Formats: sequence, structure tokens, C-alpha cells
Amino acid sequence: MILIRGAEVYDPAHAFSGQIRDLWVDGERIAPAPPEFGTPEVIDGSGTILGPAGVEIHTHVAGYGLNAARRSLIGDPALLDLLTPSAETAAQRYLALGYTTVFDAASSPLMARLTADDLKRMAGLDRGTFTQLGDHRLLLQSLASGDLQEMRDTLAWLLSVAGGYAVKLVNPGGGIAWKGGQPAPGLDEPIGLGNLTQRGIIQILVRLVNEMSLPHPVHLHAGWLGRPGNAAAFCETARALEGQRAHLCHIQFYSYGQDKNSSFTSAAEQVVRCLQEYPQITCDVGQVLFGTAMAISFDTSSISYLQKATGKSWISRQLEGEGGTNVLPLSYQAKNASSAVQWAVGLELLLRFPDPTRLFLTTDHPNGAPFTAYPQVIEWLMSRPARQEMLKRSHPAGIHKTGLAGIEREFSLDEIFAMTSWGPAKALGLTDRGHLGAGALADLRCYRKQADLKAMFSHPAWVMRRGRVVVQEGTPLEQDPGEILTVHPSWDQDRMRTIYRGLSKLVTVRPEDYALGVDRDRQISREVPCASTMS
Amino acid sequence: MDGIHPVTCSFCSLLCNDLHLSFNGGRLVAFTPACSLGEAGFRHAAASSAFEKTTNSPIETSLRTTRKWLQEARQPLVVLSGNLDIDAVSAAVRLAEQYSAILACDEDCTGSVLGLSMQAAGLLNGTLGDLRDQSQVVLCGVNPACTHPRLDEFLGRDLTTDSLFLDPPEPLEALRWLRLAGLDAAESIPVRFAEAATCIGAAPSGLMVFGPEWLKAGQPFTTELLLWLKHLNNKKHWYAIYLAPAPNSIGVVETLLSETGYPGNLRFSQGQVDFSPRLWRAERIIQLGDTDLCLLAGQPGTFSEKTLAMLSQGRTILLDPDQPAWNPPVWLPSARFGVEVPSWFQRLDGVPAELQSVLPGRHSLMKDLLLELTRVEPLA
Repeated sequence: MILIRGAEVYDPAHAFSGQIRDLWVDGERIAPAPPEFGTPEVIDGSGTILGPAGVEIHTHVAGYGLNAARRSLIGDPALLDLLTPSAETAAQRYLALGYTTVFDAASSPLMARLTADDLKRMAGLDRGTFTQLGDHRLLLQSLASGDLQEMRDTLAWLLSVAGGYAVKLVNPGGGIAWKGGQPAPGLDEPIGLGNLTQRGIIQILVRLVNEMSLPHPVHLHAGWLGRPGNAAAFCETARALEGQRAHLCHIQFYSYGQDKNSSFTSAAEQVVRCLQEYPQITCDVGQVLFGTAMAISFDTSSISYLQKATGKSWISRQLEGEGGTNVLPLSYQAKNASSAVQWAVGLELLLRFPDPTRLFLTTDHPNGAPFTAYPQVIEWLMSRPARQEMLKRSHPAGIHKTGLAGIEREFSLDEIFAMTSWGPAKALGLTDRGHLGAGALADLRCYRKQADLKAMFSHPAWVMRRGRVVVQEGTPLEQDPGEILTVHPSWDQDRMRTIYRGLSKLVTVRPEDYALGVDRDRQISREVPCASTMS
Repeated sequence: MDGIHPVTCSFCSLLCNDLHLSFNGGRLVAFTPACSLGEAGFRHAAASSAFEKTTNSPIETSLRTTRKWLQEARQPLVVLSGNLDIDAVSAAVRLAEQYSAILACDEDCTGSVLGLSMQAAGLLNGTLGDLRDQSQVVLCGVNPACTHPRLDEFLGRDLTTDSLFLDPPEPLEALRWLRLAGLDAAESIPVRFAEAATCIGAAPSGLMVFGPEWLKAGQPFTTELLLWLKHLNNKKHWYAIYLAPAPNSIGVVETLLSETGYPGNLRFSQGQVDFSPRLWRAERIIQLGDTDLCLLAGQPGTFSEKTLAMLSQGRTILLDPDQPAWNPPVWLPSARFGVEVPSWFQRLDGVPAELQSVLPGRHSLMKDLLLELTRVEPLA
């Protein structure tokens, strides 16, 4: 047993808001205070802040696209290391920040083995990946056919053989349209597979995933990313979900209005108002920070648009039977009006949205900024003076097009833990973490109290995983291998002939060898039940 | 007679996965579908496997010698061939880090040349399934009939009769001129370039296929060609791929990128990585005498006879299934990927492919040999 004595404890799930408490750990889990104390190992928590470890819901740290980004950064070792660290290094950095569960935001079934290889290297964390199926021809053909059982079996098989944890949809149908030389489709335009539209893809798959009780709902990257005036289309996408459970990612990139010059303005207020109408929707923000970033995305039509708009060279790799992966260097400058709007919009969304258990902190690493910038964002959220300082250094006309300067709200520590631990854990269906209730996993982070919030959140005093301290004062200690979290929904085995026949027309590898194969690589992964009933 | 199906071929970077093999007494007696490269590769592998390999000294002695040389080396060089699997590359990276070695690929990053040129010109890359339906194919300094005999099947066309050939190295100036002048002054440019320009300009989509010979001409030359193509095909989808010469050239480079951030040609020193595509070229270092120990993970496919002769005279260790004629001072026999041990490679378009074991193997895995060398023992 371990007794953590006298820390200020924060646990939004149980309404602990800085009370001085003792916390007991028995083995890998939080335990109630035992009737007899015995001689536990005692950790002195006085002068510290204690809360559940961080849970990352959207980052790009594994898989095929990263190497294209690395090629693009080859001339700048510092940026290469900051934006595209190796899988091992990324895992170490997440642990050092107090995060013990990390989800890579998108991986291709065809290239699943490469993602799996990176995930294997991320020891010390629980980790997983979302399988991008928004342009998967086999699945979309089954959707176009209208056979619900075929759709369900195909979806379950694809998710399982790809080693995925959840279904990711990236601008669904956009990649197929782009390959056919067509512009990105709107919600109601046919994508080139019968009468199938983006609205149809989203509605059917969101419903199907929810009916299958996957732990995490559809993780949706909507259309029209990064374009002035896209907020209206984004809200229409949110409405198309018809109140169903879903996760909308990096919403900062969709919360733009436009002025008469077609330049960016903030539409954060409009987007927040819309999202408040749908309590089943969770979101992450995709905060931008000033500096160099790297777009890594399956959204070929949007990255192609940004490539033309910025004039920078891109790397685009198209995948058979799927969409494509793309990388494009980005630069957000404080003295640039558009960048200033983007920076302010992210903070405005977070500060205007009332419920931090539904809108989470991400930078869509490395699209908006590296994840190592989280402490800086937290400081801006918790300190209006810190925000004002940054506002002074940002493009005044750009800032004027946002409402950030007038927002007085400052986040509490409760809200920070809700936004970075409990909220994302719940949205991922991982209710065994992100809180400090008896029986929860003993994944904890502890900060020494100090006035400098950025420094405090950058350097936890210690980080605990499964009841063992794994980082002490920034020094990594002995770590466990961690687990790769996957789901394996069942499908009708009689469907295999149809699936293999369809797949063999779309790809040049044998269906039996596609992705990870059905029976491979299970030994290092842990299956999370589809009916989300974890204790 | 033992028939095995389906088998993935590990003798060129197409990694065809539909082979039927039959062995009789360890001898390959049937091979379909027809492919001269694959059949020769499996026939040789079967013959080598049946033949009892011997080294001059037991493997423990060779390992001890190698470890001693590594510990004594001032500037070791580790060279990766394109025949290694991902685990072997990872182990080689660990070894190079531990001994502050220079780590290079024998192919000298030619694939990266195309990658950089494509980025500069904005061309697309794609997997073979997406490249099948392109209306025009242009072969740049490569004859797939010799190097990748079944590429026709993947692309759904007879490449010998249904594609354009551009041979290297045409003068860079001609290309630049072509791009600037377009087709208006066709009389002053090489005829085949003018014909090519007409075909390319008319095609709604297409594919450029590069071999290593063209890419040796350098990145500016390739970039210029791709910019010309872009000029002719504004707003159309054109792809480019590299016909990697070795079966896992792409997988080796991709693994290096994942693990180190760089595609090879780097030096480990005091926990830092120094990347220089020019300075840390394997052949350059060997020929300048800038290394006192060379560890070759796999038989290098591109080294000149002069380089191999130099290696045979110095402290050189080769880890490979076959003992080559140039007679390296130390040979550590390793099991053959995709014949004696299962593994996975990346096809020339990056798609991972599973390799099976089709013959019994007696030798150690390359990965295990390399990891064995990272085990520090006191010098005798």
C-alpha cells in the first residue's frame, strides 16, 4: 500500500476541489482508506497539487505520415525533434508532462503495420490509434449498397484487422472525390459512389458505431478545414449528427467567420452556441501557438487547398482503396493577422465553452503546435494577465476580429483536470482512469505549487502509473511496457468471402495479409470491451 | 515433393505475394508464375540452404573478434543493405549508437533524392493499386523488365510497348529550356523529349518511374524534370515512384527515419546525431580511409570493386546469408529473410508485406547477431 499524505487533491469526477486529503494506492489502483493502516509506504504530498494523470485524445505521434514530415524537416534538427520525435521520445515526453494514456488520431488500415510498430515502441504509456475509414472504398461501397448488416460486418472487420480503438472519419468522401479530380464535396453532394453523400456517410457510421457500443464514438474531422467562413458548414455538420454521440476534433480549425475581404474572423461564439445544443458531442480544440508547425492529415482536399494558399511544397501519398496522407509545413506568426485570429479562436472556444468535460485541450500535435506546449496554453487559460501579455504582442487587427480580449474567465485547477483527464477519459470510454475514485487506475500526477503556472505544469514533481512512480522531478524511472488498447467487435464469419472478394478488387495485397491480419499482434494489445462497462 | 502456396517473394522490391513453390529434397523444382528474378533467387537460396555453410572459424570466435574490433575502433562505420528487415535495422541503430558509429545505407539515399525532388515540384506519390489506371507512364532511366519483371502486372499494361522512355543523363539545360519554352520550339530539342512532351501534355494523368541510375544524376536534375512535368500538366494528377533496387530499400530507410529522424548517412556522437548526406556516404568514407572498422549488415549491392577490395584488406565484418567472393575478413552467417525466417518488408510503394519461412534455416537472425554485438564484454 502507498499513502499519499496531505496533498491538495483535484478530482472533478468526485467533486474534490483542492481539499487536503490522503489518497491510498493498493497495487495498480486507487483504494479506499483501509481499516488498519499497517506500515504503508508514505509519500509526503504537502505543498503539492495531486490529480489524475493526463489523457491525450488527439495527437499524431505514430504511423506512415510522420516519416514524410520528417523528410520535410530534415534540414532543421531542432524542429525535427520538436514536431516529429521518434515514437519512444514522444512517449517519454508525454510521461514527463504527466500523461499516461495517449491516442494517435489517425492511421491507415493498409499501413496499419507501420502504426503498430510505432505504438509498440511507445513503452510506458497506454496507447492506441483511431482507424481512418472516411475514404475506405470497401466500407463506403457497403454503405452505398444500403445493406446494414454488411456495413456493420465490414466496419467491425476493418477496425479489428487495423488494430484500431475507434473509427476516425476525415472529411469523409473527400479523398475519393479528390482522386477523381473533383472538388471537395459539401455535406449533400454525391462523392462519386452512387448517391452517397458526406452527410449519409457521417449519419450511418455514427449510428452504427453507437449501436455497436464502441467505447469511443466516431471521431470526426469535418470538411472545410482551415478556411475563412467555415463555421457555418461546421455547425451544419454538427447538426447532421442529429444529437447522437460523436467527437469533433480540432474545432479551432472550423470556427472561422470571414470579413468582406474574405479574411479570417472569429466565429467561436457561434460554434460554442451550436455545440451547446448537442450534449452528446465532445470536442477537442486544436490550439495554435505561434511558431512553426506541420500539417499531417488524411484530408487531401483541405491540405491541397492550404498548399495552394500558402505556396509551400507538400508531400502527398495516396493509398489504394483509401484516401491519402499529406504533410505541409505551416507557420503561425504573431504579427500575421490570420495567425493571430487562429491563436485567439482556440482560446476563445475553450474560455467560452462552459463544460470542460466536453471540450478538451489539444494542439492536434504537430498541426497547431507540439504537445509540449500544453503548459503554456494552460497558463493562458488560468491567467488573464498572461493572455493579455500575449495579446499585446499579436497582430492588433487580427485580434480585433476576435472576442478574446474581452473574456475575463480564468480556469480553475478543477477545470484543468476536467479538460485534460476526466473529460477525455470519459469520452474515450475509459472510465477506469481520469479520476481518483476507489478502483480507478493509480495513474497520477503531482505538481509542486508555484506561482509560475507554465513552469508548474511543465515539470510535475512526480508522475505515477499503475501505482509506481515513473517520473521523479523530470527523471524517468523504471517503466512498464504499457498496453496497446484496441477493440475487436464481432462480425459474421460468413461475410468474409464478400469482404475478401471486395477487397481483392481494391488493393494489391492479399486480403489475408491486409493490415495486421485477424490473428496477429494480439499478444501486446489489450482489448477494451465494446459495451463500455469498465469499472 | 513439397508444394508451398502462397509465398511472398523477397528478391525484388515488388514483393509479389502469389508464388507457388515446389521443393524436392530441398531443391526448387517448380516456380509459378514465371519471374526470372524470383526463380533464380529461390533456386540459389534453396541450393545454399542445402549446402553446409562453413566459416574459417566458429561463430563464437568471429563474434569475439568483431566485439574486440568494435571496442578498439576509432571511427566505426555500419552499412545497411536493402535486404534487412525492420528488426535488424533497429538493432543496427542500437549498435551504431553504442559505438558512436557512422550509419549509412549502401544505396546512398537515392530514394530520398526523388522524395526531395517530388516535394520541391509538388508531385504525388501513390501505392501500386492507385497507379494502375494512369493514362501515361514515363520510365526514367530504368527498364523494369530487367529489374522488376512483374511490374507490368501491377500497372496493368505492357510497359515495353506502352510507355515512354527517358534515358539519363540528358543535359540539365535541355530540360530547363523545355520547361521554359514548352513545345513551341520543338526543332531545337531532342526528338524524344519533344515526343514525350506531346504525350505528357495530352495525358490527363500519369506516372513517372525512376530507377537509381537517373537519381544518381542528383536532385537538381530530377527536380528540373519534375518541374517540367508539372509545367506540362498543370492541375492534373501526376505521380512518381522509385523502383528501389533491393527488396527492402524502402523499409530500411523508413525505419531509419522513424528511429533517428534521418534516412541514413548520419553519425552518432555523444548522444547527438549528425546528419550529412554528403559527408557520411559509405563509399566515400571507406575510400578516404575515414573509418578503421566497417560492419556490413547485408551484402552491399552497389559498392564498386575498388571499395570491396579495400574492405577485404581492412577490419571488415559482413553479416549475410552468403559468403561473397570478395572474401571479407570476418563473415557472420545470418538467416535469409523470407526464405529461412519469416519477417516483413516494405514494398517499393511503402506498403508492408509479410514474408514467410519456406525452407529450414540453421543460422542466427541478423537482429540477434547485432544485439549480441551490443553486449559489452571485458576485452580479453
